[in-house]
Amino acid sequence: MLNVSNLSVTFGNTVLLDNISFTVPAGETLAITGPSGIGKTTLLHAICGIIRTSHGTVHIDNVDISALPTHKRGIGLVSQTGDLFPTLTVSQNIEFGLRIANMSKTDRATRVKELLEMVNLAHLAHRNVAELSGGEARRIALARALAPRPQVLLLDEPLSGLDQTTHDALMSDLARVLKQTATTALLVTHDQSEAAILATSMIELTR
Amino acid sequence: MKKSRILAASLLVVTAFACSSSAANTSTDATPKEVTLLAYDAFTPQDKIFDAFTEATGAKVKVVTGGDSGALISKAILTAGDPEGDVLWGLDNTLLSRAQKAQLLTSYKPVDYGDICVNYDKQWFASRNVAPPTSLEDLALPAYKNLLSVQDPVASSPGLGFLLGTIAHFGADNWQNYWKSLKANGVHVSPDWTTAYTIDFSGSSGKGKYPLVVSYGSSPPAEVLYAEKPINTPPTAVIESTCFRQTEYVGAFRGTRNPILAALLISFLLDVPFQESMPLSLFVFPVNKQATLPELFTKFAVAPKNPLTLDPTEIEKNRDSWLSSWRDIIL
Amino acid sequence: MERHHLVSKTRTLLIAPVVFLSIFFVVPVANALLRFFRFTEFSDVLGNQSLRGVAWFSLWQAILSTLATLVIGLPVTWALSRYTFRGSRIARGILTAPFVLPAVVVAAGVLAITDSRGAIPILWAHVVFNVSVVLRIVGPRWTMVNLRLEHAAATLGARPSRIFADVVLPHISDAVISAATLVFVYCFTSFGVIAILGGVSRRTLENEIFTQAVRLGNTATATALAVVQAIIIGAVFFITGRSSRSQSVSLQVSSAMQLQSRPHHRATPVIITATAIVIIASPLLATIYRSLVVNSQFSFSAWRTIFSGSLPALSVSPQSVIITSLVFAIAVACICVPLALLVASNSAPRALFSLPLVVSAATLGIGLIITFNRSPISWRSERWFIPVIHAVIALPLVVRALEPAVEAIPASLRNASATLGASPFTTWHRVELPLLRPALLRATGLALAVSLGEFGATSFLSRSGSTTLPIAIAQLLGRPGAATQQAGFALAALMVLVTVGVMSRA
Repeated sequence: MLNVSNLSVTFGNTVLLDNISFTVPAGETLAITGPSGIGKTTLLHAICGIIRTSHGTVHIDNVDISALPTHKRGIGLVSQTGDLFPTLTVSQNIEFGLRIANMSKTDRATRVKELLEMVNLAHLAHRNVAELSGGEARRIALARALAPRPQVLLLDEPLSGLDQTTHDALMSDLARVLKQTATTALLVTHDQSEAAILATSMIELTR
Repeated sequence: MKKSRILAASLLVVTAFACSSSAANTSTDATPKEVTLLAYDAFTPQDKIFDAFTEATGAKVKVVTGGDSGALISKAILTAGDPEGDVLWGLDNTLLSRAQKAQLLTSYKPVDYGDICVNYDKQWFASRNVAPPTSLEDLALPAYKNLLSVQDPVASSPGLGFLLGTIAHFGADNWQNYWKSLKANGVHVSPDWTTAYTIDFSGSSGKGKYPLVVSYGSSPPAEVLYAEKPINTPPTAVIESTCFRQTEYVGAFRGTRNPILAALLISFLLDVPFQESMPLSLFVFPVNKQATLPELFTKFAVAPKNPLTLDPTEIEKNRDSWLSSWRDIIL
Repeated sequence: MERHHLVSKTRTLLIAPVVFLSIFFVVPVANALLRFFRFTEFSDVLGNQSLRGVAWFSLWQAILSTLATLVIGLPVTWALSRYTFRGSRIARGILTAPFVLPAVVVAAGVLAITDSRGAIPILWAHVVFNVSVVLRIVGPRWTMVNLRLEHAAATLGARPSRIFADVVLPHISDAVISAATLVFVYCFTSFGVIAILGGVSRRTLENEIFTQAVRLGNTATATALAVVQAIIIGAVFFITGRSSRSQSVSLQVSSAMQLQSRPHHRATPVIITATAIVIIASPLLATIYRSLVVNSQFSFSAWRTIFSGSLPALSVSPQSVIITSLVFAIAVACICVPLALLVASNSAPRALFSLPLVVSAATLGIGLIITFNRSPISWRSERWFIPVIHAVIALPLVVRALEPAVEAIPASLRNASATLGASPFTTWHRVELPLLRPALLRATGLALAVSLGEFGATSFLSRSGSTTLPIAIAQLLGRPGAATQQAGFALAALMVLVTVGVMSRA
């Protein structure tokens, strides 16, 4: 369960986020919508600890993680730009978090295989990430974020910029994966129908 | 991963190498088995010449070099009283007073001598049927216009020697006129010996434009010794009357930690075996009268009986003003 | 624009390069200044007419040299960054090799061709040395300019010159300013080139400092001049630092395109490259020529000597000179590159780590002599001291070579890594370092190059059997005897060939 309470982010004199509070029950997906530039990405970054908050707390399963650095929060992120590591192959990208968790080689291989199958890209295991198409890269980014079984998964406009067919395919896969893994998720999107399909509840950020 | 391993391996190799050589060249700090001789870069004694010294005293001779004689003395003066070595080789008569003022050495003795003279390219003059100049005055004659290359006396030791020679010959009141006439006669000034001899001079490897150059009385034998293909006579010769005597001294540093070994080394350097090795390894004449000269030297090296000389104190007193007068005339 | 506060980097590691620089640079220089600087001497120097003339000459020849270097260097950087064609790799090697070479070699080469001294030969020699700097600093930035942006501009009707001004220049302007500043400083503090090609009437401040300190023993005058020089250089850095902006550049590296694919004027890059090669390589060829031909006779004997023989003119064998230089160079790379990486990764203050460029080599040399003279720090005669000082001198350059690459790594990559559980160190190690590999290789090459050719501050240090290549070359060329000199040119030619080989790989 994710609980955000009175979260505020200011930068100098500008208030980027003002007293945001919400709760996401375990295993459910909350969609965050709102116009461009309102601070949806900022909110995600604040929750996973990439930017500093001026006020407010974040709790996961009633444990206060607000003071923890990003790498200790156990919160996964699929950003808008995918951010696959260019010098690693697809498999190496996916197992990145697993290596850090000191998983054994065989266990890692099993998990990677599992995730690749989950996103239907088992045949790309040893591919260079530069060769992936847009849709494929998004799926791998998703697989990578899910691999270490994060407590919470943040998704920043995962379906934007894709052609209709890829968009629809990815959306149904995403819905299936989220349900299958029972991950607590936050989904940032500006598309209301997407929110309706993927999420169980929705909040809208306004000025 | 692989790269960091390669990096670590090279680091290991390099450290090992550095440490091993460091161990071999331990500092002179109170190590009784080593005496350090500080000399200029051009100090290239004969191979294994110090073995006899080591056999006799049990101490190894470590030669440390650092620049030319001017640089060497300047650096040594910076740390006078806390020297880098035990014995200094390379102090010459133009620098003597500076060293004395700084109390650099506890004592010093002449160890070798040579001359700074105008060398000429024999072939050049022969092929044009022109007799080479025979005196300083000749160099200012129109017949030898644009043929002479000298070095900047501020930067170059032979350059300074030549200037001092002209001052010795023409006197403190008249030398400026001589240089004015040299300038009118197209004298070329190089920044250092290398440029003058290896690039400007026509008689050496550079095949330059100038058949007359300021160099050493011992340059002709060097041309024979280091010739490309074996030759019997040098392609160059020396104008004796232009020679200015340069004496080099050796002495123990004030503040040396090995005064006894230093004294022993100095005696060794003044002794016949080392003195006899000097002509063909250092291209200087021995001061020890009992040392015999090699044939190459007796035949081709020049050390006139009455070279031009100046008193070291005179040099020290007036050098700066002479140099700036020279600058004003030539530049 | 949002500013993302990153998880704090390991700034504490910055201690290592700071301590390194402090011990081996700041302390000796401060020591020299404190010991020898006199204010009265300083004001005398400022008032001295001829010394003002020296300063003026140093300035204008440096400015002209920098302009000449940019005029020749920028087009060829464009040609080699944008296109690959047959011979482009070797061309790059030839153009970047001279950086290593001792001044006496390049200057002698130029002199052999021009047969005269003066401003033009000086400019030529400076161009030969410094085109390499432009290539190394602007080149990588140029390849980062996204080709797609240029294509987009073209489809919108922009001419090539417009594309350059509006699309390319903003991306590379920082690098160009950085390179120009560096070239200016090198030309301003030029010593060997001016000594050989300037004739007697032309001296730079650096020549004068050396003369005063070493030849005449006037340490007060020398220090005063060093301070003047440092003030001028500091001012230049300040001015250029003001005008550079920090930009985030996309990581997208456009690899160089095959020349055949260029739609029009395919010959242009080749012609530009060939012109640059002629200008830069001819003095080098003169060196090779003089290593093989003496008295109009062709012979390999000098080459044979340096590899297997001995030279009486040198107190050590040529082989040990070569090995010493190589060992030192590797040591320098090992010391310098990690330190520079720490500096570049932590965006340390530019000013501190640019100091070795500002200060005259003679001042540092004097400082080293008087500081590291007494035990327990009587290190000045130690063998390892030389590579350490090389590393101090190479540091600002290597930092500059790494900075663009470090800055180009997008923050989002670091963020992604953090969300996957990687601590900042692990992120640096597993994500950033692999991305920096090409830059690190270039930086290593640069460190090797600087070490191989260093002949400034370290020539103040005495050596016992640890003669490096530049010193050996200067010694050999400084003795009479055709065989000796030919050997000197052979060593110099060896340096040329090896560095051309190394640089064309980097």
